[in-house]
Amino acid sequence: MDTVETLNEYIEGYFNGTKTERESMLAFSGYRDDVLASIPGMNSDFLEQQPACVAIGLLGKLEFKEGAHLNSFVVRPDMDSLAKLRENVVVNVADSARPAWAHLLATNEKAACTILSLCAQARKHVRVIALKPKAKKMSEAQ
Amino acid sequence: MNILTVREALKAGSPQSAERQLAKIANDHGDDTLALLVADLTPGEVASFLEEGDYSKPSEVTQFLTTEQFMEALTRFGAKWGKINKNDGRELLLRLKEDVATFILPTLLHREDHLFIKAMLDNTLGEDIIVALPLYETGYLDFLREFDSGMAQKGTWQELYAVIQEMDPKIFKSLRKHVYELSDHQADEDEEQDEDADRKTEGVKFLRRTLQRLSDQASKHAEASSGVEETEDVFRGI
Repeated sequence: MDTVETLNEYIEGYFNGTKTERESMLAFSGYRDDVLASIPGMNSDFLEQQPACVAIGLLGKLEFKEGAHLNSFVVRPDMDSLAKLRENVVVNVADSARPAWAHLLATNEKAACTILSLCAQARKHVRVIALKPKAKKMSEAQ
Repeated sequence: MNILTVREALKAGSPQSAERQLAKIANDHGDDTLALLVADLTPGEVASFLEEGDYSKPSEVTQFLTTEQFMEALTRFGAKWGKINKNDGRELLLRLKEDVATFILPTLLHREDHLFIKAMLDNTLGEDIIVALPLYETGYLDFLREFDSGMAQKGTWQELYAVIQEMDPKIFKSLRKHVYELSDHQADEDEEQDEDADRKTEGVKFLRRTLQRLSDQASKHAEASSGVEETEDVFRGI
């Protein structure tokens, strides 16, 4: 079963010293974009078997509000704790990743929760923080 | 077919397709038409073509570029490198140097008028790039010490140095002296040197500085030309 260590290994694989920092970052974000674009075509088995691989596509596309609800979800990522996240607006997803997130939920809820949990655990990874675009809050966007 | 079609192919990220179109233009309408079209290319477009070519098949634009176009294209090279860290080792620097060599050598060596070589030698950064080319290549010191232009490997820094020697022996000697001064021949002989020493040698420092200058220059151009702001992603609840 994939863990956040698996995800971290994938991330670190892009920063192995064979490229400059910026080249690595461009390659990493390019791969993230490719994965994100391909999520809507992934089937239920793949989502369940390779969650870290899928989670790459959502890195930098999610915002998390720190707190007990998030911690509970990470410990036990299921639909009940996801409902708590929703109720308390703990997670925001970027519009560009919304179709991918919708596909995850529609295809395999359990896998969607696992993938979201992996992304939550990787949220403080320096490379993930660097991926995040300038965000516009919902209130500003409307 | 006109420059717009070529431009569209480049914009679509297909320099191969643009190159094919140029070849067709040359074939159907002759070199004069191609020369007119090349004259209209922007430095960024020229850079895309030069990146696509190699020594065995240089870009169609090579013969028609002006010196200014070539030098401007060179200033666009390395935009993706960003900051080259002090921790970046020799291996990485050599890879970047190889990228530069692949970019410039086909054009420098296929132009029989040697105008671009002269232009690079007249430019501080251009000259430093030429000095950097042999650094840490296999047997570079021995080759320079017993320089024999007849032994120069085609398409490499050796051929470039052979051309320069023929163009102006004085400049050749000065370049060779500079390369000697930067070489780590003493350190090379000491097999016990630690990893850090690899990053501190004069040659490595020179290489890093030169590549960084190229990268900085290219970044400035990239910033100036990217008038379009990155699309903002709006975040909303799941």
